[in-house]
Amino acid sequence: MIVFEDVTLRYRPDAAPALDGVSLSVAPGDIVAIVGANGSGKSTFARLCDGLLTPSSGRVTVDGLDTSDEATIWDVRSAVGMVFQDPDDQIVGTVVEEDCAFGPENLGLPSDRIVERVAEALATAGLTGLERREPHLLSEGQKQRLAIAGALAMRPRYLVFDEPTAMLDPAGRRSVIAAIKRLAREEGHGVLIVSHDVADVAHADRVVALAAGRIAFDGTPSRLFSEPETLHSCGLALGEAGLLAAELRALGFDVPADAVDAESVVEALWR
Amino acid sequence: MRAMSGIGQYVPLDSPLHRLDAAAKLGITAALTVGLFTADGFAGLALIAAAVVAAVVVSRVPARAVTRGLRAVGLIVVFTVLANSLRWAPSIALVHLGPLGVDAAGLHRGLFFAVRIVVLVVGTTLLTLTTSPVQLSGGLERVLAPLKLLHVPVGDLAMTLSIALRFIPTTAEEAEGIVMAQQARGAVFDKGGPVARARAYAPVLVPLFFQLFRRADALATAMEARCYRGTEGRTRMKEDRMGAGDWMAMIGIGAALALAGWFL
Ligand SMILES: Nc1ncnc2c1ncn2[C@@H]1O[C@H](COP(=O)(O)OP(=O)(O)OP(=O)(O)O)[C@@H](O)[C@H]1O
Ligand SMILES: [Mg+2]
Repeated sequence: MIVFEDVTLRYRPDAAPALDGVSLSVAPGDIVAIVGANGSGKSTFARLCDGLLTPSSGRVTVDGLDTSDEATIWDVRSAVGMVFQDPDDQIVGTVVEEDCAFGPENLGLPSDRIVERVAEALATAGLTGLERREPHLLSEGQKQRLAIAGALAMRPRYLVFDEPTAMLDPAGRRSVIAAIKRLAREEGHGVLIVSHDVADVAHADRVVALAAGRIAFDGTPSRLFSEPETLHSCGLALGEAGLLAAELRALGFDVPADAVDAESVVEALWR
Repeated sequence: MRAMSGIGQYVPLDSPLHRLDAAAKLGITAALTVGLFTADGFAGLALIAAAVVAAVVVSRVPARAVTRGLRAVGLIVVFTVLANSLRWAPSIALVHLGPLGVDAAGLHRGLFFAVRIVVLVVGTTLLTLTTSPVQLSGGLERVLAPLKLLHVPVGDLAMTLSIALRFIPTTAEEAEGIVMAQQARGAVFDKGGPVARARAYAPVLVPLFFQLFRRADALATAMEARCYRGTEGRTRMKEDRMGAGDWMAMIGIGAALALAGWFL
């Protein structure tokens, strides 16, 4: 479990807190989406999960380990995999498999176990066959899946994604989201995903909206989508499909509230 | 920028040269350099050049990739030949060009230096063309390992080198993007003299450096998130080691190259 207990974080002692009294927990197998307007504290939240930032007050623990404790920080970091928005900011290796091996190498694992983990992580991320490809020759979607594979190779129990699909086209976005869903559903990883995209949020079990560093909403995606004001204040916007779905719903059609992309709206109407 | 970006960039192929251990290749490249700088006649140079050409053939790297490195030093080569061979009002000259003349001994010397530069560039480019940056930095780390006794952070230096190499294409793409953005706003990069051109690039370099610093910061965070804490206690997926074949190739070829320079 990743547990936030009344966490406040100030970047500077005299500045307004970027995160203000947040309490929350994420269990293995959960997909939790974090939404909010620009500057609401989402990335700050993500960075607190693996001790890249430590709280000014309050406590963050990962499976009981305090992220402020220097002695166990590397255990925390190997338990929580982080994936950031721009894959070019996190790919260190010059070919796919070398990058994927970076984490396990840092953990000091013997070479045969690294080989095993790299093969496994690349397979999960759908990159098998591209082991010797140079990162700059990958598509954006493949690069982002490489960043995910790099995190997976450390065998984390939790994965934290900070806007992993922001730079992707719809196809790349679908492939990354599918990979993320599989990780939570089949592998039992606890997943935290920061996103600005309603389609990503629709796949979550739970949505937490931040506003000025505080939790402004905590509930299911369908409930969030049925509250247009909350949605709007989080900087989220329903696309055309979502708006159509809302109107159809108002007319009495049976369209679930979490049908926000064209595919799921069509599917709902077809039934 | 695009012309510069491909120089010496690893060409992943499977050839004996690619399979040769990076440390052995570094050793051979060092011997090549020694050979080139101790050679006092064309015979020595020719022998070394022939060996380098043979290596290019064995590596199966496309000739274009090899000559791309030469384009960058083309100006230096031309300048070397001219500076050595042209004399002001010489008494004996092969050719007279107005007050200038081409001096035979100077031409000989100029060509000698030029060949030396060309062979050196081709040889070292071949090293990076056939060795992945990770292998290269790993090899360098093993070659420089004795310096660890003097508390030189060899591992961190090798990691820095490998990351720098990894970011060359990314940075080139970024620079190109900025150039295009500036051109879209009416900036002109290819008019005027060298000074005007250099000045036109200032609005490119500033945002480029800004980008690089931002990226360096983000990369450091991402490396920390992936448990990087210096090279102490770090292991490698592919622990390269010099095999018997690597030793034999290094000592055999290295000695041949160095001796060719020494005696010819
Ligand atoms: N390194 C920093 N130093 C000082 N202040 C910072 C720093 N990083 C973020 N902040 C401030 O903290 C607040 C929260 O920032 P954060 O990056 O967590 O927001 P965010 O929700 O991720 O926004 P975005 O949607 O733009 O990514 C903002 O007011 C921001 O200006
Ligand atoms: Mg952010």
